[in-house]
Amino acid sequence: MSDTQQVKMMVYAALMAALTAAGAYIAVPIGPVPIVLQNMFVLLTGLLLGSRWGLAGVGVYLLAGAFGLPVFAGGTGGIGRFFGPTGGYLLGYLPAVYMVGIVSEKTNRNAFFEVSAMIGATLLVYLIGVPWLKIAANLSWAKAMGLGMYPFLLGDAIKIAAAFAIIKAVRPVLGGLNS
Amino acid sequence: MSQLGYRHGNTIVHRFDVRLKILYLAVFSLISVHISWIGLLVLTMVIVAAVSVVRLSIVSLFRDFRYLGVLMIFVLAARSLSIPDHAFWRIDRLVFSHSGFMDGTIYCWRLTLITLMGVVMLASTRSSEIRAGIQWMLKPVPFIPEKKVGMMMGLIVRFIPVILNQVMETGQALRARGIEGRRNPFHRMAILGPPLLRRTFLQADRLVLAMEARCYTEHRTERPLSTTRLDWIGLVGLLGLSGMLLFVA
Amino acid sequence: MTTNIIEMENVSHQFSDGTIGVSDINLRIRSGELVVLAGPNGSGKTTLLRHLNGLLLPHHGHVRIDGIETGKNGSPVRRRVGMVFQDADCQIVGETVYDDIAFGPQNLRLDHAHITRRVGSAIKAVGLDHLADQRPHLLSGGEKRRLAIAGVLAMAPAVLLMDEPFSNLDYPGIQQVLELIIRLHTEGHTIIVATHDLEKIITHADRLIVLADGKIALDGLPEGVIAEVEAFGVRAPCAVRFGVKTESWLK
Repeated sequence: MSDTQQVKMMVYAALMAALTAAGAYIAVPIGPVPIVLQNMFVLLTGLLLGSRWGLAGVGVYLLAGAFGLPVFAGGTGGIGRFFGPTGGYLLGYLPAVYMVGIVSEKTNRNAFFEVSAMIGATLLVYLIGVPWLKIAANLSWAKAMGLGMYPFLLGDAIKIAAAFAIIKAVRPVLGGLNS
Repeated sequence: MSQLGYRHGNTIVHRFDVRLKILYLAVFSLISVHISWIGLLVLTMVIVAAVSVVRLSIVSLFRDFRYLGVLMIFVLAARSLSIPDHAFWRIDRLVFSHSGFMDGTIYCWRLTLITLMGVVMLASTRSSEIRAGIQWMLKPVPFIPEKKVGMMMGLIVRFIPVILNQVMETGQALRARGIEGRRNPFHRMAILGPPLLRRTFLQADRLVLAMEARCYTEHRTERPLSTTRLDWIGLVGLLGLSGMLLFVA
Repeated sequence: MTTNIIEMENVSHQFSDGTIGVSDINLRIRSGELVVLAGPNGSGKTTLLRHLNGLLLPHHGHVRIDGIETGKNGSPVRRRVGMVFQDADCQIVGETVYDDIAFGPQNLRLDHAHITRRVGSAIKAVGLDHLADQRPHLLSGGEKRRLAIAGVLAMAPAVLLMDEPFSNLDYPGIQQVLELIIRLHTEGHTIIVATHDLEKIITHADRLIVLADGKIALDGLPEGVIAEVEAFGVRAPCAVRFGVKTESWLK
């Protein structure tokens, strides 16, 4: 990869991370509950930038937030976010973006595998997020899942479908990427 | 006005080296997990002192952290109410647990302190300094290109408000064309997504050009970090304080 | 005798999709000139500008800045030729005004004391010294444009390229930027302003070049060629249409 290409991927990763951060502010109502689009942008980052740069973007975003740089929604940055009850979801973004990226690369952007990877990645976020919530808030498993997972699953299914539609629409336009 | 973000000043907290501040943040965060309420009380006094030194108003801080407050009330309630069976909607059989309440209070207290430290850090340190500090700490870590990480952090901080603005604009443009009529959330996301991504990537392309026009290279002059006697005194203070806190615990 | 700081010799550039960017450009610009490069959208203004700091390289011909040919190693040319892009938001890199101005000098690997001096004089030159710690997204349009110019000035270039410096600015913003351009010109900078809108700058220009379809269509003193610009898709200033002398936007 040439120097210019390196700089380019670095800037793409940084700006996708900024978009992901902004995604925490974008709410779309599903029935009575508004859901935010942050995790959808995490999936899209993996699909567009691949495993390595996707992980770099999300990783740097979380690291910046952990050290108190103002990148988290509501301005409540800092390491406190990770110590809080929802910290596990943030950490879960790391394996999630990597998984989506690597599957997309290894299967040559096969639609079936990409959608499966997004489903897997979404579950992975809960796999880390829910136990974290359970411990932080001292809940039973049933309650932790009832509060921290079940209410969002429908939204997640819609987000995955939307991510798939979005990727179909933008990939041809963003042609030169990943090459 | 929001209390978050850098506030210019020349207080003792401002003058501490950023690495020392990061160290304080890390050590206090870790210690706070291991100490009980006496220790937390001491820690609170130190942190409140820092808050008042950098002249943050506690009242408006509370306003800035409404979200966190809601979260903490939830945690407190969840911890202090133990329910005989697992069906959590059976409110009429809730049992209030004293130890759970104490436990929850300590957890929320700790979380508040850690968050406050983050606010003090942010208020007293320029983000380029924080970046330089992180870069310095990442230098010995293998496989992490600390200069790229530093540059990316700068770009993320710079572009979040720019992109947020565009998100707002795109949202308004779509509303102007009646997206509200579209109840289906899938359609909304599928319509909102592509223009946002296209704009973001277009912006990234332009940014790459602009960076090259300004001779961007990874081997650039870094912001210098320097320690003064004050920092060493601060370090001794940190060691003494944390030793004492752990001893009491 | 003044020297030619910019020399373009038979320069042609074709994009990968086949469209012609510029073709057969021959151009000499003397040190210290204020040149307005006009032409409708798609006439090749931006392409031409990007050849002058090596962001684009000619497929045929040569571009020399101060005698140095643009080529593989862009840095010697780019530190002589600063470029202010049309979209100020996309060229501000730093998290604060100060950090952004320091970005270029840091890339030139100057030592810290030197950077502080450079940033200090650039920030004063554009009148943003009171906003050094401000975050860029909170600036007005005119302030952002001035910040973009300061970021370039801090690299101490001899030549300044400005792509549509007045677009999306309100009247005070236009005046601020125009004043700055004129001052930099009197201080001896060579300045090339690309625009499709002559009205705001033409009174102050030493030379007007009109591009059409990637070629130089007109080149001369503004008062000499301005009457012909409309044939090439550039609107002449109102004053010219009414047959009176053009007036500065600063009045």
